[in-house]
Amino acid sequence: MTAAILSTSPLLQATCEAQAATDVTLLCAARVWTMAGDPISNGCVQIADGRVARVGQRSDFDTSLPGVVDRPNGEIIPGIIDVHSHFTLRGDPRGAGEANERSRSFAPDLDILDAFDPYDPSVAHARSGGVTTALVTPGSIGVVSGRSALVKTTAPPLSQMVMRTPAGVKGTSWRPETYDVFDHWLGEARAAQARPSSDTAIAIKVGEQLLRREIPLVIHGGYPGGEIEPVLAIADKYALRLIIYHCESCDENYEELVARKIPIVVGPRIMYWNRGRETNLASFLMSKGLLVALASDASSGESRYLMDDAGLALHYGLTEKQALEAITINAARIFHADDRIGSLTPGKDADVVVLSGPVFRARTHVDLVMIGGRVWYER
Amino acid sequence: MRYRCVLQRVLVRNCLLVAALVLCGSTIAAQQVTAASHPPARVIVSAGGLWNGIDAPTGPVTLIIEDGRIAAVRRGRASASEPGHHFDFGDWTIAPAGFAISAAATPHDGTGLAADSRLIERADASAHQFLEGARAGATSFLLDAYPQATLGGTSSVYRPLDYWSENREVVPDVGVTVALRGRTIPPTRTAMEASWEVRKAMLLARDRKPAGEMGKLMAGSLAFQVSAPTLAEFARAVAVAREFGVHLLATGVHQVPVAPLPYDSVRVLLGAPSLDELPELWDTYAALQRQRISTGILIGDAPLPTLLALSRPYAAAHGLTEAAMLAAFTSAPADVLGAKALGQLTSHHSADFLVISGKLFDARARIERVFIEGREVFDRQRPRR
Amino acid sequence: MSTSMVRRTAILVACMLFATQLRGQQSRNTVAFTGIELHDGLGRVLPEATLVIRGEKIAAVRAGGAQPGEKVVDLHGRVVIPGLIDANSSLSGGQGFNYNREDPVLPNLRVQDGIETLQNFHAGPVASATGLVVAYLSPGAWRPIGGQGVTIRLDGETLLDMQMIGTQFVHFSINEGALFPYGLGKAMPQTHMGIVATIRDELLKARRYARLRATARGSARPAYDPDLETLAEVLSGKRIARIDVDTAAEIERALSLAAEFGIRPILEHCVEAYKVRDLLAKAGFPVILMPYTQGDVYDVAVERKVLETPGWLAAHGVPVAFQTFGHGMPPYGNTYEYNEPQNLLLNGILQVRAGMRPEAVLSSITSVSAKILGIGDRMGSLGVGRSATFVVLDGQPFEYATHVEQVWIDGRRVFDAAHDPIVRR
Repeated sequence: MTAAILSTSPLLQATCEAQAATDVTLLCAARVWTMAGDPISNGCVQIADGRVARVGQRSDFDTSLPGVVDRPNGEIIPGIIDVHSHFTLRGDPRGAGEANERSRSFAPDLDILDAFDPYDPSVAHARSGGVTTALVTPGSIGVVSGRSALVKTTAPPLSQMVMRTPAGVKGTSWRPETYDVFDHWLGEARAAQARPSSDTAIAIKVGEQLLRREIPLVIHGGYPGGEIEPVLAIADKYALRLIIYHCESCDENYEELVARKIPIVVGPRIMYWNRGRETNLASFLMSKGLLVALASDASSGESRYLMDDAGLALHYGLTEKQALEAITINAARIFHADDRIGSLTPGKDADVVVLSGPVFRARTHVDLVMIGGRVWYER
Repeated sequence: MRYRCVLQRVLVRNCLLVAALVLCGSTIAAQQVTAASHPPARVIVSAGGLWNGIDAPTGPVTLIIEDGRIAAVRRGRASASEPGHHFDFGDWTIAPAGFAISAAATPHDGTGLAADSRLIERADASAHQFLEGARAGATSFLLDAYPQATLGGTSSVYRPLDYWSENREVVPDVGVTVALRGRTIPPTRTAMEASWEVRKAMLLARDRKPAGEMGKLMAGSLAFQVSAPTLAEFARAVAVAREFGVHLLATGVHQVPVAPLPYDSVRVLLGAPSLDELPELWDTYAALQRQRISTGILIGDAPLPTLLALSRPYAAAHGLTEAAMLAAFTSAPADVLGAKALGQLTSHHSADFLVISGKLFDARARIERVFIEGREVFDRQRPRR
Repeated sequence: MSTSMVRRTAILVACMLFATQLRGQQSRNTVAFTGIELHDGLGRVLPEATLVIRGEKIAAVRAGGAQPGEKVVDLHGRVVIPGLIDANSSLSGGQGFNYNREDPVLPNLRVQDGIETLQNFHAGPVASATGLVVAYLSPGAWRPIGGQGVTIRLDGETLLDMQMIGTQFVHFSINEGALFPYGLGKAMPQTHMGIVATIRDELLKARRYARLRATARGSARPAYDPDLETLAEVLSGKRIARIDVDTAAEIERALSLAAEFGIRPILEHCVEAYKVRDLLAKAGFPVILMPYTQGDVYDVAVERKVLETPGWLAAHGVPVAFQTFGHGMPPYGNTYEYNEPQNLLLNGILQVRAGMRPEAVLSSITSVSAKILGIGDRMGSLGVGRSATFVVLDGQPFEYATHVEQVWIDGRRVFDAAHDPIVRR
């Protein structure tokens, strides 16, 4: 199925052509959202060696040189980051696709990159919507379902796409044995830390990474019936970095989250009917001071509408800046990747999206997507 | 919730008093001759007060009962020399008995369709049901096949004269019982499908004019008796009744639309209410009265004196007198069901009444005795004679 | 009655009191809403216009201000559009909609018999907050011949007052949902061949029934059959068939069945309409298109064509309406709580981006859907003599930053965001 789509896809051909185009070194527009301070009116972003070299007013740059993309009515935003995606993980739907190794409920040794298919067209799909980085992650059937990775939406080989692996360990809070499984595992990992060995099992090594806070524990939870108390207790006991996905009923027990400053990834649903009212979960949790990102939970190419999801959150109460932060810098901060992505300041990866008009407007298109200083999509 | 608490408080505070009443009751019982299984032709009952189900209460009173019917109501107590079988209940109060719903057994063919059957033949008048009704103050039962059958059969009002005797119908043909909801029999049915089965039977009956119950329903001699506990079911029942121009008898109703009903051939039996839904019960009752829709209230688990006592503020808010409140449980449902002989204690009416220790509008009051057609059928002290 | 029921009733009573209050505020006088940008739902936009209502009706639509004797309501800077009409809604009648697929032929199954109160599926206030005033409820596409829907007003309480028009539509389904009644291998249809044969057989039976009922005498005259009556009315044009189709092949089959029986159906869903645009334009039957669903996997170029198709069809004279009834079934598909696919205005943003003119998108969810539902003479456009049913927006339609401020139905304000904050931000 995947192969059939691939062989007929004009996209990959388009992609190859884009790679061959002249290097773009300067991007200018009516407004540049750097996500570090206020947006710059009539600004430009200069690119060198795949990184942002300089950001400033248009008047500070020579726009007559070749390799300039200038959209006087457009806007520039950092590449969008989708921190909850299962794209390309199709597989057999009877087994919930390639995202879930259903035979096991404890599987920290599994690596999502061994299932991720860089040749799948949903990568190009996501990119066409301005998504430049995705956290691709196992599903939520096991207590511990595997390791996630941050990938750029460029093109195969896989090695060219991977930004960081592992970027987290995925787990769930809805199973009754959650606390015991984590406690046993991390207890063993703690013991193993005392006697380093060259042949430590992968699962234990991953546990040690969690204990050293190198990677976060990413929990699918906060549903009614998917209480987060067990994982909060585990995170407290082992001083873990904890991130919670969905968190549907978290407007009820948000104090626990606020006390621990736990970042939340909301989506794809943003609006919840709760106690007779629609609640915008993203703005509610933001108003309590939590770091909140929006994500697609994509099974294929839905990431391309992440900007529309943010538009919906804007409709229901977020400001433009908050809505944009939720799909760029907040997402980067949650995964400690803001040193490279999520904002446009010198030294950051040159992951840039040029829009044809103001952000979150009906008639605004993604005009151009640059990843690592190279143009990967042009409308 | 609040009302439950009130009740609990009242009960706890008065448990000593209750104990005293129990002793007192048994003393009175000991003075009387045990009722015969076949009542004497003339029964004379004296008590401290009477609510006749229509008017304001009166003081000490004597009921003269002949052949199960009230022959006369006299002020004051009867003289012991007067011929007849005497009961003297001291300062206790007499009030008419009320009405309840009784579920008939499921039709056996599993289709949920049994319009041309008589529910009385499947009625389950167990000792348990009889006692439950008597304890709460109901002696007459309207049969229904809800929720098991979409078209359940012809209903009637009957009285289980005693828990070992046969059921006696007082209103033989009330209506065709209908359930316009899903999960009837067969259990996979949706409300849409159940409604269609009913409407299809009605469409065919309108075309073919059969002699059986469906024909009588369409001709207007049987009511379209729909169990309608939810607002949606009630609205559905009104809509279908209007579509076919049949007489709706909606039972077990708890909520009615705020907007006036677009159809006027509607009679309603509310309840049976629990104690925590009394405020809305009287709101609904008053709303239906304003629309001049014949309405009565059924009795369920909560006993009539408790219902009345705790209802007082909510009914009073709609300008209802105590006599009107009692009527809502007695003469009003009798009107709704066309049970002309029941529901009031005036001349020529059936002597179906409750004997209550103390005042009627008192949450502490208890139903001590129950009479049907002048015959004692229940004694709280000896419920299982 | 449980305590939750008590609470619900209390809320209901409060709502009604509020509504009565609002009603009390409406004088019988003529009211002029001035300073508005008026989109009439038929493609016309009047900047700086005045909408005048008298009682339940629109008395005037004019450029400029109020006239003497009119009570002025200044809505300066607001945009006024007709109340939105959902041609095939995902609002649920509660237990009326389930997965019971038995009985492949049930032309008289009626949604109105399964409908719950609006409060029960809390559609009223939420629907209002999205500008919706009328919705068609469908019995679903679970049978080859699947029953009748109902058009309801969303300001009602029970079906007694929310039902607006009768049930002139009979649903047919040629898509996968109609397969496997009673289960796999049990009864026809198990294939698309079976679906089409089932529909054809029934329609032929109905044609014969209608002829013999009209002409035959004595024992040759068939007995009254309510199912065949209904289907005969579909054939005579008294009722309208709505055919549920997904793939291009299913669309072709629906078109050929329509030609075979000389009927003019409405085609619903039409997921692959982009593949057979010319055929649809030639047939000219109304189409009610699925909301875009994010899970659909298309090539980027194909997706562009998918999104452009509604605009293309509308430009080629096909009445195009959008529906909120997606394949998303409960828990997400049956109420308005999952806003993304249910909000006609927000959903329209994707159509506008794909190049459809905003006025054409607006027409599709107002005047066109009203016309398809047979209520176009009263609702769906803002003209003299039409129902005073409109929505006040704080900005241009089809923008994320725009919100519904007020909803009016028949000259009565049924929603005011200032008093009724449905959304907790």
